[in-house]
Amino acid sequence: MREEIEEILKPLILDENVLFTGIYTVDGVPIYIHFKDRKVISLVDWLESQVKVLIHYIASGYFKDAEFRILGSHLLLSPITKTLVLGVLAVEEASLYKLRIDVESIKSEFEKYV
Amino acid sequence: MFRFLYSPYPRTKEAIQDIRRKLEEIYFKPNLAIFFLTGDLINNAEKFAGLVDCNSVCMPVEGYITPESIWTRGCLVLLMDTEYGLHVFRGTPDEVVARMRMMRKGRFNILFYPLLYPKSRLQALKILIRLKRLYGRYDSDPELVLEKASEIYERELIYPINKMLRPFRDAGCDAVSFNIFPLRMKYGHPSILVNGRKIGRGVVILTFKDSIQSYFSDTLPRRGNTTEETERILKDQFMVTGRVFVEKSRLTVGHINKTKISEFLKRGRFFKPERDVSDDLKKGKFSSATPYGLYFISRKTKGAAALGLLNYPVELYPSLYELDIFYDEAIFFAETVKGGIRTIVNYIPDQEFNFCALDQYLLLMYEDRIHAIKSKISGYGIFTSYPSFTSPNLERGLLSEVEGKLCINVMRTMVFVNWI
Repeated sequence: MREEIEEILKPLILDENVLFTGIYTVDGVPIYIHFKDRKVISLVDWLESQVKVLIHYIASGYFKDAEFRILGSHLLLSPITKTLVLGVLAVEEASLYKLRIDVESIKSEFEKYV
Repeated sequence: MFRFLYSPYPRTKEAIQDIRRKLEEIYFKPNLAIFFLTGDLINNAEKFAGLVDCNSVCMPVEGYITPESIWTRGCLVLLMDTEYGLHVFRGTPDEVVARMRMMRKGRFNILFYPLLYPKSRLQALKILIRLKRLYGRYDSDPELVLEKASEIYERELIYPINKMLRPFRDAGCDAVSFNIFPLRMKYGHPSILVNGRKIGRGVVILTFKDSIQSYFSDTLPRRGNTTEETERILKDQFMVTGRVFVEKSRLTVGHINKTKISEFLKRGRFFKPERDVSDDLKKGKFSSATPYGLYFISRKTKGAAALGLLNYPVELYPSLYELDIFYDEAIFFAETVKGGIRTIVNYIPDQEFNFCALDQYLLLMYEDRIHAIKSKISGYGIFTSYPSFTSPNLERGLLSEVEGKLCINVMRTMVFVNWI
């Protein structure tokens, strides 16, 4: 399963502007994480604590998705199924509109497996 | 015979490996390949060209469509086995147009060229200084100054869209113009490559012997029969602040309502153009997107075409198409799409086409909502700078038909093609 997830996320993982890509369950448990720099580990910790709350809002239909600006980077959280959320951390210079478009495409790739 | 391949990988090495693997599954030997490359992949286009053992054309795109999704990273490849001609002409617009008039055209033709090509920092600085000096004489003889500025733009920078399509219109054949102007520009770009070699400031023409079904939409209502009717239609479609008087020549806009463009924009509290052209081109941050512009109405057809006003304080502002066929009065507007993405989707034809080229600004305007177009597009496609079109069988009354059988606009245009 790990290889399949990695294959789907590869367009993001290979992007030098994307520092971190992860998939979380509704309980906030990471099932896949890929990061390029140890500096983002503290952020990943924070993300795990936040993701539970956010997923609650997303699952209840209050949020469609969520975006944060954190210390020179952008964080996108977007549900890929009813139980999984995709998290992407990109550098500030990354083109956000392009990232949003491609995250949608990645979500549709995941839908094939659900 | 044709086939599309794609790879969503943003790095050259992985994208090439992916395409190479997919090429092994092709059951025919292509004699032409067109590579549509996103992002930095265009900088390694010669490596992509090396993947095929046939003629190739590489062009930059902002994104592409596949039957499953829409990507802004990676590349799309069109492989063909067909009867075609490949021509490359370099030089000024007059020179390339003369050669295009002489050449043997196909029933269907595609043009690839850099709409605006700043060769180097030195060239751009020279042009800016010459324009600045020229503008110093504007008050004494505006007509001469505007004409001189047009000569500079034509000789050094711009291939005017309508001028480039006229040889094909006059020959009565179909032609699609990929007048390439990326959303982010830098010196020496946009790069177009033929067989792995950069053509610089030049035009590549592919001529196809077969008649290939194509369809053009400007995603706007039909034009009016009179100037007033067309103006009413535009007012209904966009946020319009009013009619303005524009001092213009072939390729240059001078004053709007007797004031400098930057002053006009500042006074109207739209924005104050303040970015530095040369710096932005050096850093690759020259932005070709703006929500504000002028809509010119054609004397010939009562059709209309827009010209965006970018965030750069250039007194003698360049036009991307020849302006002499338009009235001196234009409409100052802010871009909105009435009805949003649904309006765009409604203009996509119900008939299925296996390839399309859509205006790149749709990506900027709609971001992830652009996926709504997938409900009507089942084939492949690209996002590029507002493709233009000419055909003897053009639909009647298109708003962007500013000259007989010739459609241009710098926003919202789409071309659909059925490769055979």
